[in-house]
Amino acid sequence: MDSLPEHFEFVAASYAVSLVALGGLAAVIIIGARRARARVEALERGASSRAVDTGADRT
Amino acid sequence: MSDAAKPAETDITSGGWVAYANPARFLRLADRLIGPLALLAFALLAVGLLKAFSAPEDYQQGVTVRIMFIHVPFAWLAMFIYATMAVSALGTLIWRHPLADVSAKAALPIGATFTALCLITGALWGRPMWGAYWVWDARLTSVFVLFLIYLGLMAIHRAIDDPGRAARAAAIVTLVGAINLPIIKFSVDWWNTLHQPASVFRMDGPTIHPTLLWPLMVMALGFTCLFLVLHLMAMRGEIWNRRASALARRLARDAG
Repeated sequence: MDSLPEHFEFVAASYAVSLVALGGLAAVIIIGARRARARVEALERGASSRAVDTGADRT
Repeated sequence: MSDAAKPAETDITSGGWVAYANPARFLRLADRLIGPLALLAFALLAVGLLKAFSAPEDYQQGVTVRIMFIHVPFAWLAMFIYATMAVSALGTLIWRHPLADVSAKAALPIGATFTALCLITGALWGRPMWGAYWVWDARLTSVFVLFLIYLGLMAIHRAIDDPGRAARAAAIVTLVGAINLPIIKFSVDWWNTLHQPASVFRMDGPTIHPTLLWPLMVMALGFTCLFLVLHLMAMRGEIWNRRASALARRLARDAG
């Protein structure tokens, strides 16, 4: 059976750790940004509905 | 938009890059750039990986030389991101640019991740080559200090509630910490280190064989594009966060 080159496990571990870390970082950034945007939109909806309820002129 | 607001916007636009001090304008620009940059990063990293794994093995290091194609770009980016933050710190303290602090804060976790990956991949490279995962070598120690500075800056942002005060404190610490960048770069020349000296950015040109140098440069460019994508996304998230906080404060004030 052909064996892997010597020390290949260190190469594999380096690439695996990097992939997981960068993938995790990207996921955290994307989810964080989406949550923040959803929060802004919810607050803006709340603000506009309050303005309608009180009869405020929003123009 | 009211007519009264138009002249102000025209004045901002005439200022060139200063126009992007406007967060709304920046958000539109980021939305346009993120997609193409992500595609470019993906393409460059795919080509870089193909070339990296088809390049010949090093006659001394064998297959472990392939760790270089990620370790070295991580090291460059760890310092490049910190340099970007130092410029942003100047923007916060001197020009009070509205996006400077957003940029610095958004870059923090990305810089910390690239620095941690530089240290981890370096340790995984060091074990088979040096016989140890870690030595208190000047290069390794100065990069570890850089990682601690990143963590310290993140702690400052978490510890200070007022975003303005946090931004100024973080900007001052960032500028003081920038002294570590030349120490990292020249540590291999100033001290007798186990880490090898510079082999790419040298006055007399690179000493790496072109078959290894080209994949390294393509990977470095790919990771730089990836950083730009992540940074733009993180800045966009930070702007939305600040907008949400401002809106929540205004609603609470109106309700009171």
